[in-house]
Order: sequence, then C-alpha cells, then structure tokens
Amino acid sequence: MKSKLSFADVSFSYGEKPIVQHFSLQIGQGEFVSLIGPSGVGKSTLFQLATGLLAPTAGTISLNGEKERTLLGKVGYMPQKDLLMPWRTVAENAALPLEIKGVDKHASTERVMELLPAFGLKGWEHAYPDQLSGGMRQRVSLLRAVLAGNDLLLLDEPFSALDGITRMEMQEWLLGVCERLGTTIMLITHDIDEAILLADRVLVLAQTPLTQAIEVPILLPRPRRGEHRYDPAFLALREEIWRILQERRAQSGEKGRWQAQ
Amino acid sequence: MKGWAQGRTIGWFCISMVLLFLIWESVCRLFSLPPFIFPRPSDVLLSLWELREQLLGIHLWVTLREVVLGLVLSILFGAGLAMAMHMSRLVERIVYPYIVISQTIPIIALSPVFILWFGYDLSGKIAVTILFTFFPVVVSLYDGLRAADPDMIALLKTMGASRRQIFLKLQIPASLPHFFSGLKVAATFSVSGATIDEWLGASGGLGYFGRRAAGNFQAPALFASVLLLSLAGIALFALAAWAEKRFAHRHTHNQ
Repeated sequence: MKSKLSFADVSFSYGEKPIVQHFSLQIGQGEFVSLIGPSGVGKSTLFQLATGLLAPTAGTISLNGEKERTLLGKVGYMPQKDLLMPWRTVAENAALPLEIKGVDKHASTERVMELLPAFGLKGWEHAYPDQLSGGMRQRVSLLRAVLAGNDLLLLDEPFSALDGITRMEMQEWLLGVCERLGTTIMLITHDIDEAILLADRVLVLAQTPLTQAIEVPILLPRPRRGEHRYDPAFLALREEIWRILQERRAQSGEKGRWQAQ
Repeated sequence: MKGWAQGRTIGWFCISMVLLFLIWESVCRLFSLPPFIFPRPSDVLLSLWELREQLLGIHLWVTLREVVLGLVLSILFGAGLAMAMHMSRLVERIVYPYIVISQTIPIIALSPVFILWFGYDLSGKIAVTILFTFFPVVVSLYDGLRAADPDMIALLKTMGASRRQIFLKLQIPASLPHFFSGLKVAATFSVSGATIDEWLGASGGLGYFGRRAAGNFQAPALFASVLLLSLAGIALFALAAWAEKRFAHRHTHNQ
C-alpha cells in the first residue's frame, strides 16, 4: 500500500513538557485510522502536527512519501466545532478552501454543487448555518474539509457534540461517503464503537508523552454497515480496546503514585 | 412578523410622545409658566413653523454638513487607526493610551483651542465632531477585529490562508456587528459634537441659532432648534441601524 501520511521518529514538546516522543506512524492511501484515548493525552497535538499548525521539534512528517516544507493547505481538517461562518451560506462556507486556493468562482461553485447531494445538502445551498440542524452543520463542515483536503482528511471528534441518535446516523452516513470518495481518513474519537465501526485500524493512545500507539487491526468486512455493531467480532474488539485503555491507565496511575512518594 | 413588531414599537413611541406633550402643555397652562422660561410645546411648534426658513433653510444644513463630514472622516480615520492597531502590537501599545486619554479631556475646554487652530469655519467644527466620534468607532472596530474565534483562524491556516486572507475573509466580517454598535453611538454623539462647537463660536448652524435665541430670551426658538437637533440625531442613528441591517445581516446570529 502506498503511504499517504507518515510520522517518522517525531517528537514535540511544549516548553519543557514532552507531548510526543519518537512517535512513528504510517497511514496508507485510502486507509481509515481511528485514534482513541482519554482527553489530554495529546491526540490533538498529533493533528496539529499533521495539519502543519505545529512543527515537530524532531523527526519528519511526510505526505505521499515526500517531506513537505509546510503541510498547511495540504490536508483537510474537520474540527470538533463546525466553525461555519454565520454570514456565509452553505455553498459559500463549503467553497471557502477553494476560494483561499484561488480557484475561480465559477469552477468552485460547480465543484460544491456537484458534491452537495452526496452530503445530503441538495437544495440547502443558499441556507445559512443557523437554519441547519446540528447534523447538517457537521456535514457542511465535512464537505468543506473534503474540498480543502487533497484526499487526506483529519476528523477531530467530529460527532461528539451531536445527540446519540444523530451521531449513529452520521457514522453510518460517513461510512457510505468514505467508501464512495476513497479518501484517506484519520479520526480522533472518545467513542470506542465509533472508532471500531469506521476504521481499518484503531490506534490506542493511552499515555503522555505519546511514544508508541497500540494497534488494533479491525478485520470486519467492507462495505461496513451499522449492523456490524452487533457482530460478536465487534464486541470482542470493543472489549479488547477497553482492556488496553484500562491497563494503560492503571500503569500510568501506579507510576504517578510512585513518583509522588 | 418582524415588521409588525417594529410597527408596534413605533406606535407605542408615538402614543407616549403625544402623552408627554399633553402633560407638558397642561403643566405649563396649569401653573401659568412664562413662555420665556418654560415654553409650551405648542409655542415651540409655532416657533418652528414661523422660523422654518431660517431653521430648515439655513441652520439645519450648516449643522448637518458638519456632522456628516465629521462622521465620515471619523469613520475613515477611526477605521484606519483600528486596523493599524490590529496589525501592529507596537502601534497598539503606543496609540491606545492616547486614544483613551483623548476622551478624558473635557472637549468643551479644548474647543477654544480648536477655534484658534481651525478658525470659526467648517474645519474647526469637523475637528471637534471627529474628536467626539472617533473613540467609539476605533474601540468597537478594534475589539471586533480581535473577536474572531481563534479556532476559526487555525482552521483557515490549515487551508493555507495568508494573513491577508484571514483578515479579509474572517476578521473583517466578524468585526462588523461590533463596528456597527460603535457607529450607532458615534452617530448620536456627532450631533452633540457639532452643536457644542457652534455654541462656542460660529456664524451659522443650529447651535449658533440656539445660543442667539437663548441670549434674547426666545425660549420657544431655542427649543425649536433643540428639537431639530434631536431629530437629526435620531435620523443619523436610524441610518446607522439601517446600514447595520443591510451590511451585517446574519452577523448577529450565533454571536
């Protein structure tokens, strides 16, 4: 598999505090990888490194096998908050990354209109964000990320602000869209079910500084559907990931107490 | 629905105003207050009608010209200053304290100096109007420019946006609701600014007219000029509110 994004021996620290240490990761073209771990473990730092908002203190991050001078403008990022501009319509919000790249207005409108139906937003192009439901706003935000993204998307807890039912609907919808678009996706989540259902691999990140992620391959068949949630294999994976998280937490907790003495 | 609610607000305002005038009129009649001390509304309106050629034909326009020119220059000057402060920390550190200090000085006390510098004509009046109005413009726009969500700025950066693009596509539109709040304050201040300077020394304008009327114990004429000034202030406020609706539409949501 061709490598889309790779971290090679990457380290990053805020002042004295190391957040990421000698971290390596390979993500293949078209792969879907979920990152799961407790809050404050440094998952978002990994994303900020991957989008180019932060530069690693050591090591290299490469895109398509090449080391880039900057990753800004090369990766599609979808934040937890939808961050839609209230003064722009759905179509104008989605077209923002194209506008920034200097794509002409006609061509960018055409691209947006072409993708609207797949995102369930057909007929809503002239609506303003405050007229949309939470789920629709997240879909606009994802559409914007797709248009920004040169087929690599980083999704940062995209559905965590939605209610449980809408979240499950969005997960199943995302499965369909991903399989259709064939983009490479990295997803940060707190939700074990979401991590398993969507991904080819789950990376469990349990301690700061991040050193090595524990990989759990998800061997559920594709095309993936919502029903896979009730598969015995799914439940086994869920248990395994939960056990890893618990073990890691216990280890770091003991270490913490030992240090305190 | 919205138009109906607005119509109702205006309706209530008219009713309360008529009531106020009636009470005023009856108090004057009841206590037989001399008109040169406390004129009745009917005297004021009569005087407004009698002096319409002077008031509406000459003095209103003199004042409006000062106000509008002062306000426009104030917006240009204020917006320029706010943007310069936003772009450069150094400019902000140097300029901001002086902007605040400029507002702590009683402007009336400075007016004679302004007259000395700029003379009795238009430029002096405009200078005082600017002094009265640029503060709300600068502060509101400067705060507005800084109000953009930092996460939104980070998102634009991940799209490869330059500083200029972030400024034009995010910070300017995000600042508009703040800016218009400041503009509404400035619009009402502008009339006071021009009037005060006319009061202190001028050869025309409603402030000049009012002062002359006061000197001659023509209270109804003075009140007539004050009424016109108040209406001019209301009209400017309404204009700023209209511009806000027109240009900052949809900005007020989610803020």
